[in-house]
Amino acid sequence: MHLELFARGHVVAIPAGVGVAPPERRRGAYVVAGHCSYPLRTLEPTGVIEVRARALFKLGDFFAIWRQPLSRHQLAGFRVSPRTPVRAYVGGRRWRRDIRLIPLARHAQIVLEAGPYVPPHPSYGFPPGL
Amino acid sequence: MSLRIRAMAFLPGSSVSRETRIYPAALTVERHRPRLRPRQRPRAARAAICVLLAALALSPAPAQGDADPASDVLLTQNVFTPYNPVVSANLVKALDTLSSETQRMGLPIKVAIVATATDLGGVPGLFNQPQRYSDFLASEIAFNGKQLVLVVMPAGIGTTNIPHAQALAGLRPDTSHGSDGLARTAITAIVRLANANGHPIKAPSIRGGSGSGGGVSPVIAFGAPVILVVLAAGLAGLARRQRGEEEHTEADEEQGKEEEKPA
Repeated sequence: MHLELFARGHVVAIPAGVGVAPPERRRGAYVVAGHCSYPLRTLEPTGVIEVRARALFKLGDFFAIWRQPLSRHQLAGFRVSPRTPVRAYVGGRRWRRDIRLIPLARHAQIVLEAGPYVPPHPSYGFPPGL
Repeated sequence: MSLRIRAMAFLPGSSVSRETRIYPAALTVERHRPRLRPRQRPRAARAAICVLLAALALSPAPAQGDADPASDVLLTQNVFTPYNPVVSANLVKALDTLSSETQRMGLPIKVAIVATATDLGGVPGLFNQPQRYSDFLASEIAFNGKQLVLVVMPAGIGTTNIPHAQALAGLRPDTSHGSDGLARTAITAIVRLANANGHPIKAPSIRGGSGSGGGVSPVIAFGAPVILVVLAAGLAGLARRQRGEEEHTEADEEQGKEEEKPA
């Protein structure tokens, strides 16, 4: 699945190596190996999250592994006012329930925004093999 | 009235800071109690407006999206190469070396090689529109100022903010060798741009790597399975012949025994 984060109108990067235990081996911007990894992990800094086959995870699980807060009023290190909560879009459509419960389905395209509206992409072209 | 502008940089977590990604500066404006004489106010106000406008002009443009992988990779790297077919390791190394060299010379070019629409993630509509994608990419990675961007696609080459880009006139991407051909075109383009900008540089010597991705020669890629099939067929034929001979000898022996028996 692919995740895009925006805070105050700017991109928030999701680093490569989330869910990969050190020592990790890198090639350029990509993580190519690690000691071991969670069923949820990132190997590239592009927002592509690899989810082990047949595993049922939610967006809140990924943020827990990343060790970043996620709630209606906080997106990673960015807090928003109660009047303008964090917005979520799944496949280009607004998600109105708890954002931590968004299922990490195969080839899902999820966009989280804290601050000004950024038109969400409805889909993503995944690299071969995912 | 005095006006003070302070720049802040966000690093939202340890994991993020590992990636050395720097978040765009936000501007906070602090106001103080007015102490100026009335006739000084208009001038001060004009100055404040000018400072504010300059700050707004210098602040990064709001994000349009973050769906193309190249914009994420090029924040920390100088070269983005296609997912599939992958560029040969020696060509990637040559590109990295060349881009580091031009960076040292004062021409830091970010290179994106795009072989298929998949390499563009969520903006596949920009495939084979090198100039449009080059401008788009340059705006996406322009956090710390203007970025010099070179995009190579099968349909052509695009550049943004690179001086003397006309040096690339007549250069057509090599589409006959897949991603490796595009990588070789990028190398030629970087050398031409460096020379045009007064930084004479030689193209690095590349050993092998003429295959279309993955660094595997077509002779090996297509020849190996054929050889394997021929070998397997030969072995199967041999085994069949051996089995046939064994059956023949057993039959002969049995026939011989029967002949020895009295009628």
